[in-house]
Parts: sequence; C-alpha cells; structure tokens
Amino acid sequence: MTRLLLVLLAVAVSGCKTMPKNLDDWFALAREGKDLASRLQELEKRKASCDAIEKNEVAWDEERAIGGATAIRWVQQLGGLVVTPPPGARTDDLPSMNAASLTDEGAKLTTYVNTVGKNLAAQSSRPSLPWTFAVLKNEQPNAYAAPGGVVLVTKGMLAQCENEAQLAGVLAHEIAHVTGRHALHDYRAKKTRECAGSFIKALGDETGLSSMARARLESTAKAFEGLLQKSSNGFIDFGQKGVNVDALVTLVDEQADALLTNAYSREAELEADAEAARLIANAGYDVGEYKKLLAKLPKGGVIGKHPPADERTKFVEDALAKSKTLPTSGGVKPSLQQR
Amino acid sequence: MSRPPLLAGLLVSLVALAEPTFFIRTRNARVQKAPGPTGEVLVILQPGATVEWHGPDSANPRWHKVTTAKGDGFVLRAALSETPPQKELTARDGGAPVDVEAFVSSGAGVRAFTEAATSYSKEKVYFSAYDQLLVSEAIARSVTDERLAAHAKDAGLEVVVGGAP
Repeated sequence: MTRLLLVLLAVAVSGCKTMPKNLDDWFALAREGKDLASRLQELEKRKASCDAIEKNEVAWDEERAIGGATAIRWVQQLGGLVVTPPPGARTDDLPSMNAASLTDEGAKLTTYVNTVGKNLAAQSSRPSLPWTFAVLKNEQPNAYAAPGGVVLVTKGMLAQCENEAQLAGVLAHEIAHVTGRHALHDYRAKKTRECAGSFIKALGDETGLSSMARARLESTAKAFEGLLQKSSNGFIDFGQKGVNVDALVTLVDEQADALLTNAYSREAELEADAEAARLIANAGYDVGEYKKLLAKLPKGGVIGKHPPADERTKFVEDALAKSKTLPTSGGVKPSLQQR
Repeated sequence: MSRPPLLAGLLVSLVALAEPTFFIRTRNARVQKAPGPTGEVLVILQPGATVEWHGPDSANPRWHKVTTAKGDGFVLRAALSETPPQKELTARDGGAPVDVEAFVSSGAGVRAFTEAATSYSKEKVYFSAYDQLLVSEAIARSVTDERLAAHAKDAGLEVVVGGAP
C-alpha cells in the first residue's frame, strides 16, 4: 500500500502545470491544491481500510458468510446433496424444521456422517462452530471444507471408506482445513487485492491504465465500495441486512471454483493430515486405517494434486510421534457397509 | 564463579519438575473426584480452561489425574489438549477475540447459514442447493451431544462429548 501512495504522489507531482503568471493562475492552483488535499485525505482513508484488511484475520461473521456462499456454490456445481426438503416446505421454514421427521436413506446417511464428524469437531481447536456435514450425490471420491465449518463429502468417497475409522480420517482432514483457516489465507489475499484495486481506481485516469483495465477496476471498486463502508478495522460484517451481494459474489465465486479443482498448498495439506491424525487418535480410532485409506485413494483428479500418499503417511506418523497425548488403538467399527 | 552455572542448573531442575499444563478442549468436560463412569463431579470445565497434568490413573488409564482451581480430580484423556482452543474474532466487536464460552453464550455459532447465504442463493438462483444445505444443517443440529456419546460408546470409542453418566 505504501507503493500505491508513492504512485499517487508521483501522479500529483506530474499533474502540476507551469508556474502561475497572474492572479487567475494562482487562484486556479489554489483550487487544485484544495481538491488534491481532499482527495489525498479520501485516499488515505481507503489506504487505512486496505491495510487493516491485509493485516487482520478474517472475523467469524465474515467467515460464516463466505463459507455459506462457498458451500452453496459447491453443492450446485457438484450435482446436489443426498437429502431433499420435505414436500411443500418453504426455504424460510427449513432452519427450524424437525429433522427427526426425515426418515429417508439420504437423511439417515447424513445423520450418521454428522454423528462421526461432530464428535471429532467437538474435540478440535474450534469446538463451538456450527459444524455441518453433508453428503454430495457425486460419485467422484472427494471431500471439501468451506470456511465456517460446512464439510461436504461425496458418495464416491464414502464408497472408498471400508470402516468408520477411515471416514473419520477423511472428515478430520477437512475439519483441520477449517481449524487451520486454510481457505481464509487465500481469501484474505484476494480481499486485499480487491481493496487495492478499488484504491487504484480512486486514483483516476492519470494512472495510464487501458480502458479495459479501467472497466475491470470500475466493477471491482463498485462491488467493494459497499464493503468498505460496512467494514471496521478491516472486519466486514456480512451479517448485516442489505449485504452487498455483488461483493460477496466477487469474493467467493473465483476462489470456490479454484478450490474445486485444486488442492491447498502442500504445507496446508500435510498440516491437515497431521491434525487429522491427532484428532482421530484422540477420539479412539485406529490411525492405521487412515493411512490405509490414503494409500488406496485414486491418484487422479484433485486427490492427485495432494502430496504423494507415502509422504502423507510419513507426515502422519511423525505428527503422532511428536504429540504428547498417546494415541489409543481400536475403534475401527462399525463398518460403513452396515449403514 | 560457580554461581551462574549453579543457578542455571537449579532453574533447569525446577522446569523439569514442573507438571505440564494442559487445556480442556471439549464442551462440558467433567472433572471427577474419582476415575470411572460413576465418579462424583468435582467441577465442569469449558474449552480453554487449564489444568495441571499428573498422568494417567494406573487402574484406569483413560482417566488422567489433574489439578484444577477446585482441587485434584480425574478427567478423560481425550478431553485434554496440549494447545488451547482458538478464540473467535467477531466483526461486531471490532475484531476483538472472544473465548469459546463467550462465543457460545453470544449465540454467534448457532447457525451455519445466515442472511448473506440467503442473499447469495437468490442472486445466483441456487435455490435447490441452498434448501438441501439447510436440511443438512437441521440434521446436524439434531445430532446432540447425548447422541454423540451414545454413538461413541456403541463404536468402542472414547466418550468425550456429552458423556455424562
């Protein structure tokens, strides 16, 4: 951001005309100076907002908003979930619905996955998030974690799991992406870029940008403007009514799509494996089952973009050896096939 | 001349003698006066509380002896963590970190989907996906701590959450 301010000053200096020759020239220069001072003040305010965004962690309210939107986009793009709302139910009524009234296979499977997942999540470093586990109809083996604690697992991945310990490993890995705030690191970088974009836009035409670049900045700045007005110290409260949905779309869609086709960084994936191993060991599952699952997962697709299975297995073993709490064995049952 | 090494040695010994501090990581962790499923409750601790750890009970190693502000007791090993639970930042408080207990009592963590998600689903016309997620959220909320405890017992796991006898 300091660089941007330097750019601004350069623009101001280069914008100076020749020395004033008469009183009119002096008045004109004074008017320009006043305009420039007020513009500088405005830009300083924007810079402070962008600096705060770059510096501060993402707040819970914001995490939940982008996580919810991310999960919705993933479910839409991956072909839907195994559950369906009761006939005639309105969207507004669903949050308060009595889930016990659902007795179909999709609801039973979702209840089971939530039982395994919530038991692990309650023992994680963020035990009080509204953890929600959902099953995608998709047959490709995979699982996804949206910020805020919404975890999706495909039917294809469930088919790969031979027992509950293996499923626990999959869910614990995704829980670890949420507790490690891995998606939020990328999100915050994007938010900072978008904020910088709106800042550059505010500099105006003097920056010498092409018309296409200016048009892009125009739309970014427009979407971001409302957010900056609602942000305080870099924290954006998306929970307020009348949220700027354009900004939400701008911030969520691109990143959500990237996460569908790519793994996180090698470090983030290994960190998630290590944390998953600790979680399942402490819950009483056999970590060996997770290692078995890692070894047999197909090598293509997004899973193929994770670190190799032998490296992941080794990392899991090292993480357990370093842990002060001793893992227990057993807890492999019941078989998923019985569900 | 021998004083600095002596002091250093003393400090090292003291550090070695100090019992490690662990954190409670699960909700409503029961610290009992005696180990086992029927022990009398000494105190109920919430995530983030610290205890001095003295090691597993010899007869029942799933239960570990700890010292709390209310005295000595026993807690399930799985309720302990070497690292504290994360604090949550809330925009409403200008990004001030709040501990797990305050976060829970504020009600901030009750719902996974809020007005922002509703607005997004309308903007993108993703109604079906959103409805399905809301059903899954309702199912998730129906899985209570008692249910988790019953499942853990059934599966031969540590009954860590909601394991009140």
